[in-house]
Order: sequence, then structure tokens, then C-alpha cells
Amino acid sequence: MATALHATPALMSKLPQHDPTSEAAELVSLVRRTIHGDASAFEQVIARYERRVISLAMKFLGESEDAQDAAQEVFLRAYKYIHRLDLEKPIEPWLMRMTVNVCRDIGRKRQQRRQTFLDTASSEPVASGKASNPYAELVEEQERRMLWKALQDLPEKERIAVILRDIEGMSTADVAVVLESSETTVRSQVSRARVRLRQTIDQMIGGRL
Amino acid sequence: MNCSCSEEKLALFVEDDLPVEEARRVDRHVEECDWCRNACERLRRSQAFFKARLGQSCGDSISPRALTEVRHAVLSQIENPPRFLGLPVRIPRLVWFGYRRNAILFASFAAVLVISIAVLTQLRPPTEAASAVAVFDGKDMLLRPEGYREWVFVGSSLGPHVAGGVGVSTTADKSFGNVYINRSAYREYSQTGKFPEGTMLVLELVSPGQVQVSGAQQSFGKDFVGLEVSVKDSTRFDGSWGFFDFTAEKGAARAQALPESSGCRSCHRQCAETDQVFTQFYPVLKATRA
Repeated sequence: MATALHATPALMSKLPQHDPTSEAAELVSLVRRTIHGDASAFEQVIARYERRVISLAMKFLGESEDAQDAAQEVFLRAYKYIHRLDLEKPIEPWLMRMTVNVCRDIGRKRQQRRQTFLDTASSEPVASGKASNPYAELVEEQERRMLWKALQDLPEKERIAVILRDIEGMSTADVAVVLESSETTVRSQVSRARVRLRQTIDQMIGGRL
Repeated sequence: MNCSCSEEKLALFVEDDLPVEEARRVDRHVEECDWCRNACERLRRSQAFFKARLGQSCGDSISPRALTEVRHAVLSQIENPPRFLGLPVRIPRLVWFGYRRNAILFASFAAVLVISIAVLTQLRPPTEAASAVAVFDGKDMLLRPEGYREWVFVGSSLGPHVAGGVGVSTTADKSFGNVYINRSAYREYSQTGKFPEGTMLVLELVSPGQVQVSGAQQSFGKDFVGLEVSVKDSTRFDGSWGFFDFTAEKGAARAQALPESSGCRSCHRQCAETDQVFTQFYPVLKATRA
């Protein structure tokens, strides 16, 4: 089995629309080999995007086994449907769309089981990187959890749109591609989400800002 | 623009999500409207707080073990696909997916294949089974068999043949007698040495012609002059066999079984080697029993 590529920050960033670099050409080659049944080629595809997919899944589902399950499902679906991929376009929006759909499905099932993000959250805390002040770290962790809860309370489409736009940092156009929607619709969803979050944040921190 | 400017629009404005022209209009308005300016400030702080708490990439906190588990789980399912009837599903998937990329090409190929099969099916000659079954009109009126020249040729004789049909004059003239047997009966006889029910033998009489070839007299078949048929059907005929003469009326479509008095049955019963068939004169049938 071929050695997997290490994910680097450069790879974690999204590829430009029409990237003529050898990196894009190599990716196309990997996809073609995958279509012809080369599992080692697909392993390299996974290596390029696994952090991005798992990271996005964690934003939708929290740091739980659900995010890992979601990532696994995303790549299995990617392998199954990779023959449908338009090689003229970047692969990342396609993977992101798949991740959104999988997380949406898992989220709905979780809701049916009446489990919330807080209930299924892993005991492993998110590293804040500020180990010098444990109290501040705890406060931030609490605020983070409350924000995640506020996100969960948003309507599904608004939640997904604002996560992709404001947390993932994708452009409105890219979000529209991922959600197979229009930019106008995405703006509408994002704006409503921001207003709701602003109200929640105001209540949460009581004008501390 | 008045202060009906919605907070939703301002939420887009603070993140540069408005179209350029609209952003300019809102910008000019915000400079003049206290409410909108304050709303923009609250939104900017809210967005900054939101991104500061949640904007850090969760990718940094993903353990290598989690990555390995996901990758291993995916690859193990890919490399050990489910099997159906002992065949890996991947094989037909790859073939199918290869064609799905060219759906029109695959559909055209499938259409050509179907049409070719349909055309070839129509063009192929009638099966032996369809024309080599004795068809009766009533108890003993046989319809003229078709396509017997495509059956198995079992032998030929040269000599006078006595037609047994009523009203047909016998002839002492020599004629070729070419004998054919239907294929199913031939197969059965060659395997078992017995003629099955439904055996049909056709005797086609051909007048001889004479020709000199390299100084030697040669005989050849010239004109079709007679057609006789025997059929084995124990349910219809005493003695199992019925004999029919289509010679009396040239091109007759049907003939009635010859009576006992015609002499055919007695000759066949007395002189034929095997089950009223002159196998001793048919080298092709003799060869199957060799």
C-alpha cells in the first residue's frame, strides 16, 4: 500500500476554482486511479481531506464518535460515487456537500433519539491553547458550549449556512455550491442566523463585550 | 434609505456579504443613522465573539488515532467488499460505473445489441423441430412435410420404385430414391438403435439422366418425380407405421394413409431390416450402429 501523504495547512485550504498546478493534476490522477479500483490512490485522497471532513463534521455534530462515523460515511460515499465527480471542478465542495448531508442525517437521527450535543459530547475537552489560566479556559469552554447549543437551536438550514460561512470561512458562492442553493438564499439564511446568534450572545454575556 | 433598514441586511453588511452597490448605499446610510450604526457595532462584536470561540479549527484537536481509525475503517470496507453469490460486488460496479460515465454510449450499445438479436432471430431458418413433426388433418390425412431436404440424408438407391398410391401407375423405370429422416429420430436411433414415435422418413424419387463424362457413361438425378412418406405413430396406425404417397397429384398438400392392400406395409414388414425401415440400404443409419 502506498505511503499516505501527510495533511499540511496548504492542503487543508481549499483549492482555487481552476488551479492549474501540478497538485490539482495529481489529484485528478488519484481520482482516475480510484475509479479504476486503486485503493491506494483513494487512501491518498482521504489523507488530503480527512482533517477537513472530520473538522467540519465536528462542527456539526460536536466532538463525539458521531463525527468520526460521519467522516467514515463521507469517504465511503465518496468512493462509491467518485465516478460522478466532474474532474473540471475542485473536489472539496463536493466533499463538503457530502459531509453536510451525512451530518444532517446523523443529526436528525440523534434528534429522534432525543440526544443533544451536550449529552453526546465527548469527555475530551476542546484544547483552547491557553493552559496558563485554567479558570479562563473553563469560562471559554462554557461559552463555547453555550454557543454550540445556540447553533443547535437554529433552524437546520440557517445553522448549516452560518457554520460554513462564518466558522469554515467559505465564501457565499462556495456555500451556495455546497448546499446546491443560490447565493441569495445563502445570504438570507446567514443573515437570519447572525441576528439570532447576536441576540443569544447578548443574553449570554449580558453586555460584557 | 430610512431606518426600516433591517438588522438582517446589516448582518450581511458587517461581513461584506452585500453586493457592491448595495453595500455602498448601506454604508452611506449607516454614517447618518445612529440606530443602524449601533446595530452594526453590536453585530460586529457578536461576530467577533462567535468566531473567536468557535472559529478555531477543530482539525487541530483531532487525534492521530481518530484519523487512523477512520482511514482504516474506510479502506477495510473498500478492499473487502461484500460479495453476492460468491462474486465481489466491485467487479460489476466498476464495469457498470465505467459505462455510466457514457450513458448515451452504453444505451446505444444496448439498443444495437437488442435489435441485432431480434433481427438475427427473425433471419435464422426455421428450426428442424418446427417442420419435422407429422401434422395430420383428422386421423390419417398427412400434411405434406416441409423442409425435408434439410433433414438427415440416410441413403439413396437406383432402381424401379413401385408407387403404392391408388390410381398411380407403377413404373419400371429406374429412378433415384433419396431418403431423408427427421433429425430427432436420427438422434434417437443413433443413440438407442430404435425409431421413436414420430419418426418420419421421406423417399424422394428423382428421374435419372445420362451423360458422357470423359468417355464414361454417368447417371445423375434429373427431375423430381415422386414423393412418399412413412410416419411411425402407434396411436393412429395398426402396426405403428403409416405410408403416404404425394406423387399422384403433383404438389399435393396432403395425402391419406395408404391401405393395407397397397403392399407398402407388407413389403416393409417383411423385408425391412429394422422396425419396417430398410436400414440395410441406408449406410448413414448403418454407420450409427457400427
